[in-house]
Amino acid sequence: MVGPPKRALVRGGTNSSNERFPKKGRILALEIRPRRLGFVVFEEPTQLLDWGIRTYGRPENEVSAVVAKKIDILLNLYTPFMIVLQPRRGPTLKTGESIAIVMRTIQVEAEQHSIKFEFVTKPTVRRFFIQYGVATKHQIASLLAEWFEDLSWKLPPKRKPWQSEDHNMPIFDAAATGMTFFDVPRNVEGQVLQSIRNGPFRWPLTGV
Amino acid sequence: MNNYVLGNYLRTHRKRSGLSQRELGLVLGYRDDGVVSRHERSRTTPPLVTAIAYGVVFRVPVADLFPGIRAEVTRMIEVNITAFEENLQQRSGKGRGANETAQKLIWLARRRELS
Repeated sequence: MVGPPKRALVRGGTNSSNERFPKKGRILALEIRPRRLGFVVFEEPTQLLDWGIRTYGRPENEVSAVVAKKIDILLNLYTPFMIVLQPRRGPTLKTGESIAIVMRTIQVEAEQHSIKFEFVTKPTVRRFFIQYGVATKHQIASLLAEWFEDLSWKLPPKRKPWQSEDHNMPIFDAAATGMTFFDVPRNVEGQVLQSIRNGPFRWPLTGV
Repeated sequence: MNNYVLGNYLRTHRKRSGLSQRELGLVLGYRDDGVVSRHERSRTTPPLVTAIAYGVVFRVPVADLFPGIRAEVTRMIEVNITAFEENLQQRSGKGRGANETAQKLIWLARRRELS
């Protein structure tokens, strides 16, 4: 599905729309930052195929063309059935424009490859991870590093307030978005508690 | 849902190891940086020795590293074997080659049971 982040397309805290999409299959989770993109390709909720960072340069360069080329390579290589990402805004007007161009480019690429596209909001990601007792970005990243051994060596050290974000953090943010999309509940050891085919997942805190 | 079989899992295993394409190429004995990239993107099929070398490097069976090629080869072989079996069944059960034909059909039946 391609289009702007309309309310209807954004996955809320409840899972009333779980049946709309198959919960198993290859997905591409993206995380946009000014000048770079983090990506994770999931084969299924328990297996990663690829992960990394793609840079697209400064806004004055041809951002759209560069992003299109880099996304196109990933889509051709893995042909995911879905692209998921968190809607983002830039800290300044200029970077905001750049990020908007990137999001639009990704949507266009998804449409051209007949791949579904979905936004997962930040509160939804937070709600998904809060049930495992983690809330901050670093805690979420640490939990993901436990779940996916492949990512553990990319886990950045905890950021000090005066430090800027680690280069690899968008990978973990993309992985968090992907896991939220799958809605797969796990126990504290990271084992999948419930088959994704066994119906919609219920939130343990609310019972919704 | 579009979830086709990947051509290979070379990139996934390489990423897990932390090796760069150049480093993996050097381990395999290639000086050209682009060889591993072409194999990962399924632009070219690695020769048998290189395919086995990938399996040795990652400690993974070669067939598991190249599921796309395996699927394609399996499909092709099954089509050929089915045609061959049909041909055998049309042969006469008498005469000089009857025992050989029977043995081949028994082997084909056992093979089918194993799959």
